[in-house]
Amino acid sequence: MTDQEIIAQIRSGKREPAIKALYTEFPKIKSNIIYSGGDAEIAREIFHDSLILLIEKVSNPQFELTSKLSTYLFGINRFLWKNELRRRNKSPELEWKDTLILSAEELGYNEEKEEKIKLLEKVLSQVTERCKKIFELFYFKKQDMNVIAKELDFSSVNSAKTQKYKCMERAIELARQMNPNELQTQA
Amino acid sequence: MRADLHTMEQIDLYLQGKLNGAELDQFKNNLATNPELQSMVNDQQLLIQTVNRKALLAEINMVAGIGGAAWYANPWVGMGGAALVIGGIVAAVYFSSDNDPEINQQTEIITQNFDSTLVEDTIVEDGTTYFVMEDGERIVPDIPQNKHLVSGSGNEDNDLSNQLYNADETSQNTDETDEQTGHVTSTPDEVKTNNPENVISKNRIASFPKGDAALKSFIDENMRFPGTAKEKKISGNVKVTFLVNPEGTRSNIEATCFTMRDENDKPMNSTQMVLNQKIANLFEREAERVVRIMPVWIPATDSQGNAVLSTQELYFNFSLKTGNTVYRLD
Repeated sequence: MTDQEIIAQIRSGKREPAIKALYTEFPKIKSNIIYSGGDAEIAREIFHDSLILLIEKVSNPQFELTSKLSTYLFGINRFLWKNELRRRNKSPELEWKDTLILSAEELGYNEEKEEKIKLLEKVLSQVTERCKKIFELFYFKKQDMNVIAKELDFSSVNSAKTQKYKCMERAIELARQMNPNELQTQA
Repeated sequence: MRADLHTMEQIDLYLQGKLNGAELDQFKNNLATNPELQSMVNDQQLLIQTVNRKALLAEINMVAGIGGAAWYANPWVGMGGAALVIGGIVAAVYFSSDNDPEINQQTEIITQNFDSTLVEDTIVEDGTTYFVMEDGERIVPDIPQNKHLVSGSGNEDNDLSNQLYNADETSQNTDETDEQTGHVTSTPDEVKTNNPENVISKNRIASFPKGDAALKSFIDENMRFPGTAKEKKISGNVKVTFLVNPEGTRSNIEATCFTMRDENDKPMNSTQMVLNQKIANLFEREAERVVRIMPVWIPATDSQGNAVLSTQELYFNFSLKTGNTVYRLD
């Protein structure tokens, strides 16, 4: 699959084949990470986080690829692994082949924002399954509210909508309770 | 809809780029002057991003879970093959390694649960394991039959695993061991993959968070009896196989409805089963749904304590008389 095909697939929502194609890069990245002090488990974690960042980037129609997609993926992995090493108070030189050296700005990586997302991940594991399902169907699968209302046995589209916003309200409230300093306005 | 919910809807539309014209201008004006609205937009945007990341991670895990195996159009079904191959590996790894007393203990409890809820006894004839149901009917579970169908003391199992390991190599004592124990050895032919990601360890098997009691209450709360089946007074048993990823998410969920009972509570024969295929599908879909919406599982771990991929099987009993029940075998 060419880079452009992978990007087109991600943008059209057919992520699975794209992820599968990108996954062929994992063994190389894994050995890079293990070589510089990581293990298989952290390598997989870093790689999966990189895939998420890459897919988020690529999904933006304004994104333009300036290198090979695999090189970019290596760059994100290297960045995240360096970040992780810094967290462990280590900063070895990472000499990876065929990689971009990306800075946080170039990557649009914001530590504060990532922390908030981590917090929200915890929150999301506390909301009801029904809420999770609505969120996933609506925001991730981009399904129509009519379809969702039918699938989840809501009496009407409106009650499904109301439920969705109540779930959202509840989740944001939970996040604020967990850490009152988090999730305040960034301005 | 309450006013604040309406605001959230506005934010949703704004974030999706679906506001336009005067509405968009007005919203932007509000946004510029109202810090509370800014904060709400930020929160909502982050929440949506988190939802998407979680779902994306589940998709990635699914791809990672099957490694180099064949790709199927529908990820929720049709992965039985991969699960079976991995099931074979589970057996191979289990039998070829020393036993862990903790696991024996755990599985013993589960087996007892299973016995008391559905299966009266387990018998072995001609190398096949049958479950004898409450009414004396025999069922051959079409699963990789290998582990823990009969509970026993840790020591026995330990000897056993050695015996079976030897039997695997020599193919001579297999029948004898099977009759004694109810274990059925898996043939090495089933192990067809060489992907190291798929090797599953004995050290801790995957489990539902907070144990089997929590699993039962989760089923009580979340599993619904399909409406059409209720009208026709049909009940059924469903087996669900799935993978528990190292992150505790589930993938390759596949359900098979293997028995059904008619309105007189009589087991259906194969023709009736075919005629009621739609009902069987309802049971299967509901069982798959429940597995899909479960909270994050505690993954299996290898000897170093690292989380690894593993297979799981759950049996669901949709019954109008006794309510829905669940049990695990492995």
